[in-house]
Amino acid sequence: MNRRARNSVASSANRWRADRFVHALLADEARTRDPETRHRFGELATEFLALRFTGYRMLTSLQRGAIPGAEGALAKVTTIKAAIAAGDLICDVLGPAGLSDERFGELVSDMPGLKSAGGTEEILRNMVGERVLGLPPEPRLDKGVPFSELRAKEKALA
Amino acid sequence: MNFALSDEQEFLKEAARGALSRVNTVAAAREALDGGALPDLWPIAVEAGWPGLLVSEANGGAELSVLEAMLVFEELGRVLASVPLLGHLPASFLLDRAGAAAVVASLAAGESRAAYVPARPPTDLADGWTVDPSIGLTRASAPAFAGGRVHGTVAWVPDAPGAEHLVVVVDDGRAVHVQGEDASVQAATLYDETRALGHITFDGAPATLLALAPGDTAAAWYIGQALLGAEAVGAIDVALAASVAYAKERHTFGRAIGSYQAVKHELVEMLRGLDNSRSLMYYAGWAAQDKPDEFPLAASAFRLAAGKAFDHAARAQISVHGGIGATWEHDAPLYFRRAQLSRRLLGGTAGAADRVAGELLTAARQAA
Repeated sequence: MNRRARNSVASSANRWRADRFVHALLADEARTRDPETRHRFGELATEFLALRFTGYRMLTSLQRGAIPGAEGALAKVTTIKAAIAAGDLICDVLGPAGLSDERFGELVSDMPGLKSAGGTEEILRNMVGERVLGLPPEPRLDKGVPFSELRAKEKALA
Repeated sequence: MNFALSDEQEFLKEAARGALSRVNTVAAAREALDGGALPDLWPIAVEAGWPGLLVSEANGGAELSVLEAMLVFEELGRVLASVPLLGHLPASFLLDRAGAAAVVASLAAGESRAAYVPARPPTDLADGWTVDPSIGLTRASAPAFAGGRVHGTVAWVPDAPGAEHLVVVVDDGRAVHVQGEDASVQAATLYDETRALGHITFDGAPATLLALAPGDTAAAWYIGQALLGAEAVGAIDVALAASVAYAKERHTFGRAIGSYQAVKHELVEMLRGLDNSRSLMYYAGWAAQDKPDEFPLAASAFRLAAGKAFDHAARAQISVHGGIGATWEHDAPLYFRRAQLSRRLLGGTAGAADRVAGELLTAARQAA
């Protein structure tokens, strides 16, 4: 269950660290005094920190023999959200040059796709809502219907 | 590093929850809106040993860590309990560190109460120690200490009304002890009755300088941040549980509203905020004990995450409950008021965000 989400947590705990981005901000020292830049950076850095310690909490619970549940999916949502904010901020600070920078240009361009990779954010939120919070699922038209009959059923409804 | 609670810590939480269940604090919060007096929870706090949580055993305290204090605050936050520990704990911590044994023993036993008169430590951009102003966001200089006397004003001081002892952080980052009766304290409880606040004026009040180690007065500031964060975590947990229960039970168009993605995703966002905050709570607790250099970053990040998540959760709780959530019949508006006031105290969540940025930028500048 959720292997991709879990893998992303394990790697994100180490890969996505706020210090990776802070050096880029220092390229324009004057901007590090700008309240808005600082606020945006403080907020996204906090999400990265939360991610790192969520990873440690999951490791502790694994060590104690617990099986991680669907809540790991939330770490993926946070990772993408914070990475989008980071790419956006850095390119706002560096200007158009940021988009041509190998690291940050790719970061900005990859994130919209990664938001869907390993389960779209909407699917992950459904999963967590149903499995962790125990909320009822949306009604499904395909439940219990053989694939061969599904198409006909969809057409009939359309 | 072990990021889970120990059995003793779980027990502390359970005991706190049990002790607080003896009084219906949420109902009392609602009655306070119509001028009802809030119940005095101090005897419960004393019986549980909370006033001495951060005081060393030699001075009659429990000598527990910031994490344990946060766990108690999480329980206080769940039920909007009005216990004047946000002022008392950092104050008793400072007096204990300064070795003011006689005063501290009385504080730890709960025979008297202290309030911490906070000053924000300097940042990477601003040198001085500053305090929240009574209006606006432009920070004022902390009170000045000279010739054994204190002059200055500090607004929005948690738990100041009625405190026998005041521990005042002054403009050079030192701290002094002032008797409560020597200061003029004006009660400032307006928006959220469960949160006691005061505006304090020192007009030459006699003060005793505390012999503290460098970093102690800054630590007190971050303890305050951590406690506010923990209180928010407890409140989010309650708001989420109430909202999820309602979303399963309330039906529209033939199905439970929690089955609709618009509602479901909002509830999941509450959980995400809660989970992220909880992770940072462990970070703050661990840093306070084992990594003091990172405590400013950890406590600020925790305070920011929890304050924002509580703001979101308090709003989501109202909207998930529809019409009923916006009435005083429901608890939601009480939690909403707590969220709105608390996230603006002690420098605010915006101040915490700036601190997170400042700490990381400073570290990067030093490494460069």
